[in-house]
Amino acid sequence: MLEKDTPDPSLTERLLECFRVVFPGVPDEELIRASVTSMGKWDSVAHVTLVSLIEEQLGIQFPLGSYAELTSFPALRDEAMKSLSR
Amino acid sequence: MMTLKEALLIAARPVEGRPYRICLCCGFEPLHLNTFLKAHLQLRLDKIYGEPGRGADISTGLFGDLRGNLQRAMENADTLPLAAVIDWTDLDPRLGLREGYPVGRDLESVILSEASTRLAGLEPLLTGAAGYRQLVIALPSSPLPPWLLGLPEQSSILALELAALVSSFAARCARAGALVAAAPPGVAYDVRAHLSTGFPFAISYADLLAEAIAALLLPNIPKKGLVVDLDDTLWKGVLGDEGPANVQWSLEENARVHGLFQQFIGGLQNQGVLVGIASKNDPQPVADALARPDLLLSSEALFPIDTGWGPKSEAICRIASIWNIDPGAIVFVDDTPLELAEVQLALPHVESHLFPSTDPVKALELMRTLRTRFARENVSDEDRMRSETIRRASEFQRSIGSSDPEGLISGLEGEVSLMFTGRSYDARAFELLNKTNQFNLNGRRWEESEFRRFLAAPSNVVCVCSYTDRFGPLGKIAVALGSLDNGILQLRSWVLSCRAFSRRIEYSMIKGLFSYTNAVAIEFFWQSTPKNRPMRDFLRGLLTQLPEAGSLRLNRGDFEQHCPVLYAACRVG
Repeated sequence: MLEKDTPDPSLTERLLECFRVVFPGVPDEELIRASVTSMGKWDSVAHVTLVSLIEEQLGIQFPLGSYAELTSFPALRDEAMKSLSR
Repeated sequence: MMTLKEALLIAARPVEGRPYRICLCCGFEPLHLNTFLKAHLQLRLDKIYGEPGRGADISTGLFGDLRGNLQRAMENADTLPLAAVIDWTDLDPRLGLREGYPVGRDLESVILSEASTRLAGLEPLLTGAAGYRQLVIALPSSPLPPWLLGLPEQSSILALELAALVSSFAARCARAGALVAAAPPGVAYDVRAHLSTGFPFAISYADLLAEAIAALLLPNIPKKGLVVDLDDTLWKGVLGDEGPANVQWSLEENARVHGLFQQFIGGLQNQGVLVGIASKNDPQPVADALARPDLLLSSEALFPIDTGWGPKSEAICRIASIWNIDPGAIVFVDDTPLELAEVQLALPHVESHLFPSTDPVKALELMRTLRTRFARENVSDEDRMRSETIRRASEFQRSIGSSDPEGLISGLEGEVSLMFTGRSYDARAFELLNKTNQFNLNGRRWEESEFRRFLAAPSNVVCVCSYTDRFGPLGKIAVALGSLDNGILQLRSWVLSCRAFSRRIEYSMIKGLFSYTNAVAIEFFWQSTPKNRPMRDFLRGLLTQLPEAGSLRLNRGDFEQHCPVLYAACRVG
């Protein structure tokens, strides 16, 4: 049983898979630290695509209004974890 | 159903060569619709058109400006295919959920007026574009705002008025040549996505809408011929046992499903689908049964009727040969699993279906399936007369074989009509260019947008040939596309339907092309293909050398020297 706030390795891998689809060719080490500011390809269209893809693949819905704050891999992982535990 | 992940992976696959380009015009950010459309177009290019590495390149426009996006797409000199996806908010932003505004008493009439004005602004753009480019229109599918008056079970007057406005607008666009996408099933609207991203559709709906648009832009290649069995398929009963007067297809005789199938086949015949019979019976009882006045289809349009006791696969091959089509373009329907199995084994490319004579639900399902196999966007006069022209061509070929060919040709009373008008789109000419294999100068296939562009250039020469003789009209049977350069007609594409062979129509065309263009020579853009031997034989008769490919020049004098006697009258228009 994972403790609260501990990143689930399978969740990280599933998120990485989504990142790989939206940002093909970017190494995993870069993706896992990626944010809107660090990655030029992460524009508004890529952002909505990524968030929608994560929602589809994980079967979750991020809270309305949270999209604008989910601007990094860690932020998306944390929010996904919260959504999965709800 | 495709997932977003699948669509993204397909859309991102490596591509090569010239992309398939289209404009996607809408007032919202196309986001996932763009992704799904790209994926579906690429899938269709791969699976249906055999172009696995070809990518789709979609141009989109600005958020909130459908009309401006359409105008900019139209101003583009290119005649790219265009998909216009209209949302209620394009007709009035107050019909969406993202805008805040006070709901006054007269809001409904104000919205109706605004929507009417905006549709009137879109209409000339779309009807104008439909004449010279492929155009697909998707109509509003989101729900209207919840403040509309009336009981929840009641359609509001505004909703009815808006639906009527949009319907008549769509009908006028369709009459002008646009393809209006049928609304996909399922829930279209995703309020969460719309409020947070501006994209109004549920992902599943975006997939279905994109699939529908892609299917209209790159349609399935329809099957050409249907071969059907008779006993317990076209009618109930076994002809050999019960006799022609006693086979049944009426409701009273509990055989309505066969009558329905006859009506369905009649509908296919009207669309120019070839329908032939493969039946294990003797010819006379079959002829007697098909002559019954209560038959619900035109028995004259059933051709050929292959009766005998051999394998059905052999009958299908004989029918394919008379139709001069690949057996892969044929669908076979029979009530006997053994016959279907034999055909599937011998001719795996022939699509075979069991006729479920005792199950009306499955029978209706079969007819729906067959409809999709033969569906086509337009039905031309040539499509409608196809079966008859094949019958005539068959009679003509038999005559050629059994008598003096020169005497036969001289007595044909043939008339060749060459139309050089050429600026407007001709669906039959486009079809001929893309399906004719044998008398084909180089095997080149044309995309619709490319063909329309060619037609639009004033310096290009477009010749469409029709033919008639004492065996009856063949309709439009040949097309030549070229351009004049310093007195030389450069012929880039030239095709002649195989049904019009052996009448010297090809010589009449060359003569007419010289005469109309005043060219001193014709340069043929020749390319040998595995199937264009008739063209090769024709050119070999006119030219001293015939390489596998290249630009071949035929001087007017040389043509006149080698041209045989032409008996057909030739009209140039």
